[in-house]
Amino acid sequence: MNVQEAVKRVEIAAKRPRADVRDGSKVAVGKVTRQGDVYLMRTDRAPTRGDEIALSVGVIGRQIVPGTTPGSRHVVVGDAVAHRAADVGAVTTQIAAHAKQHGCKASVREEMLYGAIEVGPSGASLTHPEHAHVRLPPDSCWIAWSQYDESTQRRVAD
Amino acid sequence: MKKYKLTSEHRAQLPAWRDKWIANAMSTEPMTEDDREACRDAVLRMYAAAKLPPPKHIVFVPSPFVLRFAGGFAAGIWHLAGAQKSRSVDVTAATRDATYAATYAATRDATDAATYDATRDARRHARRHVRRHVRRHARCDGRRNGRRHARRHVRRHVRRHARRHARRHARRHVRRHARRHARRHARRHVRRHGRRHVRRRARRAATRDATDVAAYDATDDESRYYVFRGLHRMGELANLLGVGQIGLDCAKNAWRMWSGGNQWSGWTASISFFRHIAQLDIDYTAWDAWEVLTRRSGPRIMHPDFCMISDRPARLMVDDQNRPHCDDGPFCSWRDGSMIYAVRGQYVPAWIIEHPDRIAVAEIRAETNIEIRRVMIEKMGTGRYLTESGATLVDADERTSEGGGPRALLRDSDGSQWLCGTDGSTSRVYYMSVPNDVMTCRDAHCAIAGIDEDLVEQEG
Repeated sequence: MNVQEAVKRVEIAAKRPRADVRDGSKVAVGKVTRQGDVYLMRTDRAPTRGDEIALSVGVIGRQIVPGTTPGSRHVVVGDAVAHRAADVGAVTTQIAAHAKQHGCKASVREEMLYGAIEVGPSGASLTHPEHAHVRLPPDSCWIAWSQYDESTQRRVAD
Repeated sequence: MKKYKLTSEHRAQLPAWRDKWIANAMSTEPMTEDDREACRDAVLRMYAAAKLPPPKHIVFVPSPFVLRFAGGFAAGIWHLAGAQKSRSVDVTAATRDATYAATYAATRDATDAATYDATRDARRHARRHVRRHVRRHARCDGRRNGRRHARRHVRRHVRRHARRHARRHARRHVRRHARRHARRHARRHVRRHGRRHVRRRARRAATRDATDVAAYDATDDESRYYVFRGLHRMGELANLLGVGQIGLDCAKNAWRMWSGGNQWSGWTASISFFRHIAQLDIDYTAWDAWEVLTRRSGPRIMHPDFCMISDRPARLMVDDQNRPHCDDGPFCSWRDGSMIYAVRGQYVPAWIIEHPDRIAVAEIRAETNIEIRRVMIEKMGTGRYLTESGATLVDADERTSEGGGPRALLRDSDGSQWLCGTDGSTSRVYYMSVPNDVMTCRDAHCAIAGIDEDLVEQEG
């Protein structure tokens, strides 16, 4: 396979998107669901709360990713509290511990972290104008972080 | 009270209701005097409903860009005035001045640019006309007459051109000197007489300033997407209005005072459905003002002391999914010349659309935003990008998780590596920068995700 063929294969697959809602209840504790460049790891206990993420102007819900472009509109809607982690070091340790439970490794950098989402008894969703939504089951906790961009040595921007 | 349930009769009206409010959000009609009068009345009613004293000023501006700066500067001036009452600053005039200065900076530049474009075209047209005329005469009247005619035309043309060139040069020279002088003079006045004189000077000098003030560019990423012709002058303008960094900060945070007007039609569509279609037994008197403003105006800033309202855009283009989109120009532009560019929902800097021929591999590598990088590669053409970047295939595989798909790890001529993949839900192909030492797609994904990809069960 050459470069053109490999890229063509990706382009063909991209033309068959699956936009149906991803069901977060299928994700076990310590496992991850991804929405675009945002990763959500389900966790059994919420990290220590930092600043609460405020309701954003122009969107219904709490936008966990900073920014005003359509690409940054990863918004938690429903019965949930979203907050920045008070102790990012503890959160990365928590991610590594969960990964270890599944026999995997994790090295999430502190600057990649967005914070945590604590879902209430009525459940919530992580929405986005273009990516598939993720249904977050009631009374679940999630840690959110972003992809890392190697060329800029910082988390991905969109 | 009985709980409302959507009836089939009401449900049948939903499509028409939706279309009506989408049309309102997409409106490019300029505001009329009737609209302005209705808006003034609605604003007063809205302040009364919020139990606030009426605003001292209701000001109309041509675009959200002017709204943001004029509103921010005016808020800064009112804030400073509140903090320093003893200096008896005339804030009433200040609001007007801030609006005027910001509007003037934007519209004057837009007018200049438009005039220049128009006259350049006219000149080109005239030259073409003269050439054609000369050639035709030469053919009809024989060579001698033609030469005489041509000489006369050329002489007249050269004289006219020389005069015009001299005039323009002189004007530019005078303007530059005047600007420099005015600025120096204004600064001296600031020191001597305080803010009131600054405002007066600001009206004259600040708007013509062409110095290296890019303060706002440095403070806000958003500005790279906007073409707002007076943008580079706003820092200087803030200084001359006496609000400095506070004014710029207020402009940056103007969203705190922001209401979307017709751009936020979605909210109004939802609530007014229950008012007009479901006809719930609720007192909508206070709500009515909001609804009027959504129908009759663009975004607005509501401040305890003033309210500023923007006009609707002159052009607004979207794709089949109603996302901001235009492949060959701004997707949205206002009557003062400000505009924004977007490709299928992604804001992009203007040059990518206006000069796609300038997109090169180096520019793509330097771009830090992956969505813009994706658009640049699309514009350049994937095949051309891969050829010019000298890419080779390092690895290719396929993810089997929910939403997963095929991927390819590519290495370009300078050794940088890119993971090419899709996200499983948006039809897009991304090129993500990954470490140069990874040898498989899996390792590349682990490096940018920070976790072993076996942990990722769903993608979208």
